Amino acid sequence: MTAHVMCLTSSGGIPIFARKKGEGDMMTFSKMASLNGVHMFLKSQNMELLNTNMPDTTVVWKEYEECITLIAIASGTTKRVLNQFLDAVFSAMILVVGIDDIKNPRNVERLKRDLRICNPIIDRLLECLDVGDRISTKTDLVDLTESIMCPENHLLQACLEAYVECLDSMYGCILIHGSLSVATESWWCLDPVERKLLTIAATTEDSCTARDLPVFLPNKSPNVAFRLVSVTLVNHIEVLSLCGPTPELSEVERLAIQCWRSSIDILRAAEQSYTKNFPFNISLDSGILGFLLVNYRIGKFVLSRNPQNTKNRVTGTHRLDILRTFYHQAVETFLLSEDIEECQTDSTETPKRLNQQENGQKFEGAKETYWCSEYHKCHAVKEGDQVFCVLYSATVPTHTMRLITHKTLKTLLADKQLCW
Amino acid sequence: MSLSTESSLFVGNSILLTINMSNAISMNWLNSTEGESLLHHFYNRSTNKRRFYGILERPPLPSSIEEVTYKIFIIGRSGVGKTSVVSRLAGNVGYSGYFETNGIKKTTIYWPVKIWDKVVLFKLHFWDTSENSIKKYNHILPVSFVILHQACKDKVDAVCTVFSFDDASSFNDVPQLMNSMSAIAEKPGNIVIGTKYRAWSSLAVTDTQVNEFEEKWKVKIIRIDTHKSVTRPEIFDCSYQLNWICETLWDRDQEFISKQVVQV
Repeated sequence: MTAHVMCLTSSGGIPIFARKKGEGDMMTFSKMASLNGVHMFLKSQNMELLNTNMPDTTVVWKEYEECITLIAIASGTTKRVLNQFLDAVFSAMILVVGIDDIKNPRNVERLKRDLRICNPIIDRLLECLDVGDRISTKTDLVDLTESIMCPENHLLQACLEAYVECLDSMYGCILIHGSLSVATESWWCLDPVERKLLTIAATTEDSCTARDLPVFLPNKSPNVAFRLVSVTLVNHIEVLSLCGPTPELSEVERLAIQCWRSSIDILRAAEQSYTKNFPFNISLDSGILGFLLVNYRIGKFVLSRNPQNTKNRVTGTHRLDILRTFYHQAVETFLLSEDIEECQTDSTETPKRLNQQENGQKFEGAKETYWCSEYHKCHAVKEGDQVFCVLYSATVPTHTMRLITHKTLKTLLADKQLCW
Repeated sequence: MSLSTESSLFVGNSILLTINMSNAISMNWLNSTEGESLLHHFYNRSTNKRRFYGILERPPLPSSIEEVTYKIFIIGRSGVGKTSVVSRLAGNVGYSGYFETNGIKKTTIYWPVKIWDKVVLFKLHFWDTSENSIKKYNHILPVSFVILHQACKDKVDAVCTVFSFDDASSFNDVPQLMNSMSAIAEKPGNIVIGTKYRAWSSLAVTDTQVNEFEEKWKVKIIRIDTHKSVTRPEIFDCSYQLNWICETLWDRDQEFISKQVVQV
């Protein structure tokens, strides 16, 4: 079970980088050349090679800006996810070097070297792919922001607004163990992939006290760089912001201390919600093993396991992987199929694709779907902008699943303090 | 094998002979009863991890313990392991792969030290950056470049030059790198760290070279092996290195104070 991604120049087929996840060797040069060759040959025949399916493996090709070809090979995942993944990889390249250097590189060797700093980001994107290897420590989705529902969120929101104002910025968010707790309105207006990449860029390395790195925003600002400044307030909680040339890092720290000093207890309390990812006062039905709540319009999700069921034989991370598989295989196919078509017809306007289908005439996809297997059952329901997927133990009768799902969703959404 | 054993013993002796340090800091204090009693503020035995503190926090030590803050700027050739040195000193063990550092990274390490008869809490700010990203800032954010570059070197207490024992040329660069920083107004102290050090094996940088260097520049070279796996709590395996860094900073301050007194 392996996933590979490689990047070549479209004109000359010069390899720029190749990364992989899972066991097996790196892609050999000759294999890379053949894969690129097929794509190039068809291009000369005025055909675009999109993808090919092998019994358990999919290959996807994609050319960007007529200068870069990305190729992904992975098993166990869908073409939709691989396409999203390649888009995210290209965005990661823009994030670190900007679009100009990619379109008109002064020389390829230099571009290669400059792109080395996006290796840790690409590795994290590879972790988002569902290749069924069960070694990943975190279950993540390529185009959605991982969030955490803390009861303290509404308090943190107010502090965050004040903080970004001090920095003369509009973009800011708080990460608790790498999951987003609250963000400013402008942060939510960023493209989902931009949000994902900024979060990854700020958390790729071991814990550090403060960071200051130049970033290009793939959609919003591919030519002009911003500074992504992150400060660790208390252990495991960071506050991120996008700044212009000023204030400098020491000044940011000083302002952070000033703005957050009085909220240290709130921050520590919020950190306690981690691993459960939703408030302690909400208890789940004993049949629920875990859930995945997605707001597909905004592009964020919460993934959680039910702490009452920790003694269950299936390990926690594995369980959450099932939900991800269910989401990609069933939910995206049946419940969100309409959005996928939209996205494929006008790929230029991907960020706005979801807002466009306001006319109620079309088929909007199914409302519910479920899976039953020997050990588990999965049930998903779509309500408004939310898709709620729940993992049940096999003992829960199939017809009661929808009852519990609806009830739980209602409880979660009723709590306004969570700022969901 | 036996040869290298002898030479490293020799190194041990030569340090005492050639480098005139005040020896104010008790190197094994962490193993003492008093050291052990404070250890839990810095190391979590149940998770076997160093405690990390955000900017709003600090180790909850008695208020009688004095806190001193220092800023240390890390320099060294690209790829020698500047980031992994800081990461190891901060308590992270194990190899996480080589990734180039992007932008500026600041890591704060709290370290308790026994100086003469008094416990002092050192708050060490390590500033880590790569020459490449400074250049890049220059290229993409011209206005802030000057500010940023100054931000890194502003009020620096010590410059920490990192080289790799695997790479002789990175070692040969050290004097030049040290000189390039001597123009800073504050006259920062010099710390030299050699990474990828493995005892009992032949290295590109030999012990003789290290001795000559120490003799010539009157700077002690601190050896670190960041990939070494440890059985005892990791904090004991880098206490020697951290104590040496604190000692250098402390001696610089003492020298400064004594000069002030003379002037008066």
